[in-house]
Amino acid sequence: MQSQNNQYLQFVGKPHITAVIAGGRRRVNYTFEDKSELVEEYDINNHELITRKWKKVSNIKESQWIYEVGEAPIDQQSELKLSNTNPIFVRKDTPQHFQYRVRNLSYPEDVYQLEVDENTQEIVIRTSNKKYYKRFAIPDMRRANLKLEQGKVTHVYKNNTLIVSYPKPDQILEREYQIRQEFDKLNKKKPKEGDLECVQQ
Amino acid sequence: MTTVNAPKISEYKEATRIERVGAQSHIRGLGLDGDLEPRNISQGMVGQKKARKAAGIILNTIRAGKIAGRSILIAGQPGTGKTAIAMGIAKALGNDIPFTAMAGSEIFSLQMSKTESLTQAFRRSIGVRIKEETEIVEGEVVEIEIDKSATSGAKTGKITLKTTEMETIYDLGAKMIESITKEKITSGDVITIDKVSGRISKLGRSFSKASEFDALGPQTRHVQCPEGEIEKRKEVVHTVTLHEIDVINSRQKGFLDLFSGDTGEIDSEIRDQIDSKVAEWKEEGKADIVPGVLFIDEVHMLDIECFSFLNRALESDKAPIVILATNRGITTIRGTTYKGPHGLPIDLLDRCLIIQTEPYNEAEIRSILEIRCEEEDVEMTEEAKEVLTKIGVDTTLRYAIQLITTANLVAQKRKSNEVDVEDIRRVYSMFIDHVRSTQYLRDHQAEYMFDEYQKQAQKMQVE
Repeated sequence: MQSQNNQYLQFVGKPHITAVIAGGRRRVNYTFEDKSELVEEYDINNHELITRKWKKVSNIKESQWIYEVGEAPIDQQSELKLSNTNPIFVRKDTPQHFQYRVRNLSYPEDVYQLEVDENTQEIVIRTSNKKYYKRFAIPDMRRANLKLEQGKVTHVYKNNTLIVSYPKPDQILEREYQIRQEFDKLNKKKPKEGDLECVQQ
Repeated sequence: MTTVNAPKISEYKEATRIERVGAQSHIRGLGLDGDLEPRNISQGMVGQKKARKAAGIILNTIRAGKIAGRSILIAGQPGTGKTAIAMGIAKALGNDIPFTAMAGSEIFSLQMSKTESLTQAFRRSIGVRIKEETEIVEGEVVEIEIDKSATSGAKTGKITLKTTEMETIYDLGAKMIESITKEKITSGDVITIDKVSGRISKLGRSFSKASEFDALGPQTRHVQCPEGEIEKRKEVVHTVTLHEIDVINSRQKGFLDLFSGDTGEIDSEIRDQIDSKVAEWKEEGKADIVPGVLFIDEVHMLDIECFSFLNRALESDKAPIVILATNRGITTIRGTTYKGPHGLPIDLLDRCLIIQTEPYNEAEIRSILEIRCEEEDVEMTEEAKEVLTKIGVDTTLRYAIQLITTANLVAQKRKSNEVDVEDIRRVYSMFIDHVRSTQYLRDHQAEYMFDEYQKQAQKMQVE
């Protein structure tokens, strides 16, 4: 539990920001003082956050990207990989909610139990048949120092997928609105593939 | 014309790999109790109480990690358990503390100077404990499925792990399958797999499966089925040695050299850099320095240059604990024409604490032989054990140990599971020990080639 704190990688000092249009997406690159990096990819048109990944610099071995939003590419060569029969946990937000989807879940609807663990500030998905269990926090809330509230978590089960939603608090909606404004301004310049942009933070 | 029958290919059963038994493989520790008193027969060690007690004190000094650069010399006749004590110390220290064992002659290499070999040996014995976060997979094994493809011979497999809350299935790659088979992992074991390095550790057996078997191995521990998620980020502690860090930093793709073993000379500048880096990490709390043990067997093979180097190296505050062993008496110090006790110069001896080992008595020899019989999986009748003990007393302990497996093979030839006196007699007459060999040579000297005695006789004749 104590090591979870490291997951919620914080902004360390003022980052150096660059943005690039790549693969039909706007990729924003933040480089921090301690050489760790954050990369965010937004859809060019509706400014939806598609991917967010972090990389911390390690002394001893190669660092790897940790995906906060979006899926990491599967390492085909890996010696130990999740079988494709397992449920897949993915985050993909909507404009009003933080949303998490668990695909490939074939158990009936009443099996799933959701709650907020207020001590660790995590959302917990349990199954009464003890087949699936997941604990996760919402990094954006952590960074903004906001608490998760019991009762605000909702879930829906359809098409073998469990969708868990938590409404975004006003503070976060504000910030996202500002980011969208900023991107709208940049879009006015009709950017093309490979363009570098100046971003004010 | 004789027909040749092709041997029937019997069913290939996936048996666990049998590990080869070494001369010291029966040693599991020093066999001391809580007060550092040596038990007579324990953990593979027999008798030799004074030496083992002394070794126990050294063990605690090493564990405390506060004192650097002590050296200990274990001296005694051949076959008195010197290497065994060093092995006992190594096993008792466990995997955390680096233990490098080498023979004196290994210093001499064409690729490296003697001082470089010694420096590398020293740096191999100092560990750096680094705390890192890695992703691990921890759970109780529900089932393991391994399939061998009929066409390509490649193995594929799946493993199902569970915790109190969930279950997950993983696909396994070839190396993982090998590790799993090697570690003999079965359903009911609680294991941890490091996702990055692929290393598997067995934590124990699950309590829920405890009632399944009545007899379990001596090392079995029962643990609770893990809770929560299977994939976790945990703080893992790695221990790397200073030597490994040197090699990685000494050239591009240096870490490949670690595997090939060909490290070559390393610049002292790199070493200085590494030293300051490691000191920095220590300050920041990222790493701990763990001084370990360097064991040099047959230390009389080192020469005077090495000894002078050792004198100096032992004085650094980064030196590991050095254990030397030798069976020489007053011999020439290599590289000089002087003689010294144990073949070592007195200034080095002065820096050492000397532990003496003594030859075993009959009862001790008997116990050791019994332990070896067990280790080598050989059944022996009481009378055979008596005879073997007597042989051990009259000749040497090692010779008696070597007769164990050979006698077993002879017994199997006459379709018996137990070794009896006649088997011992047969191998005793087939394989002679060095005492009889020397006697034989004395008697039949003249018949051997290049015999000195013969030449002398010829010389006298000519004159």
